[in-house]
Amino acid sequence: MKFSDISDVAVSGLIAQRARLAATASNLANAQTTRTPEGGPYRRRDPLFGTAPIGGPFSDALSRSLERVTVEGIAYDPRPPTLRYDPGHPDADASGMVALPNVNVVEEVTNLLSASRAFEANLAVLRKVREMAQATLQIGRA
Amino acid sequence: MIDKLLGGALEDLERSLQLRVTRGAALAANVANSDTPGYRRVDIEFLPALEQAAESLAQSSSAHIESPANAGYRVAQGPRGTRPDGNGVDRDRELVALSRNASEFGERADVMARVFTMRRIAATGEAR
Repeated sequence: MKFSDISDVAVSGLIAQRARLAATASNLANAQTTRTPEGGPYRRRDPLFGTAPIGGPFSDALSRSLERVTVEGIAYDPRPPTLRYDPGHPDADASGMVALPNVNVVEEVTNLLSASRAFEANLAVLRKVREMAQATLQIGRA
Repeated sequence: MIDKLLGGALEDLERSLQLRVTRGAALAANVANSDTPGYRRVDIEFLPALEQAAESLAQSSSAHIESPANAGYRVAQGPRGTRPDGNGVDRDRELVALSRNASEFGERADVMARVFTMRRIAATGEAR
């Protein structure tokens, strides 16, 4: 177990939360997008988090029993698009209904706050590790 | 007394520091995984001396989660969380524990530095 193992775990948390922030930013930016390369309105996405053992195959058993967080992939929200009556919209169908992305702005902003709090928590961990490493250096000064 | 202070104390302190580094990693893993569905928090669990002796004998597979020989502790998983996603991590609680862990580490590192200072004084006869 090394200090760098702890930093690696905290950094994995930073990366995961950044992925969540990126997904939220994409969802908010595309809240009104009705045209996508795959056709239809934009679909809300969310990162999937999983775990992986810290350290490589040559690290000790204790390190391998601890897990860092990984981004396994991006999942599409299965909820159907929101339908709104807007006959003037270029993407409206014959009955005047427009399919808008299944993005709820309130939900996204909540996610944004939650992700940035989690990001800060991981930063706090990094600061504590640095504190511990500096305490170790004090031993050498004796 | 003096031989304990200058000799054995260092090994105890080193083990104590190592324990705090391991606990720090466990708490960091909990914070990093505070949004991972189904993640169960981990922490250091101390082993009674007798069990510890049995554990070091019983480690028959490399897949066993085990502490270094005679460390007296191992990493253990906590219960499943009650949140809808099955995650049992309370981020604030982890950060408080981490903060305490870091100060405990600092205290022990300080004591270790003092032991080295005493050794130097014993070896050279000079206080400064």
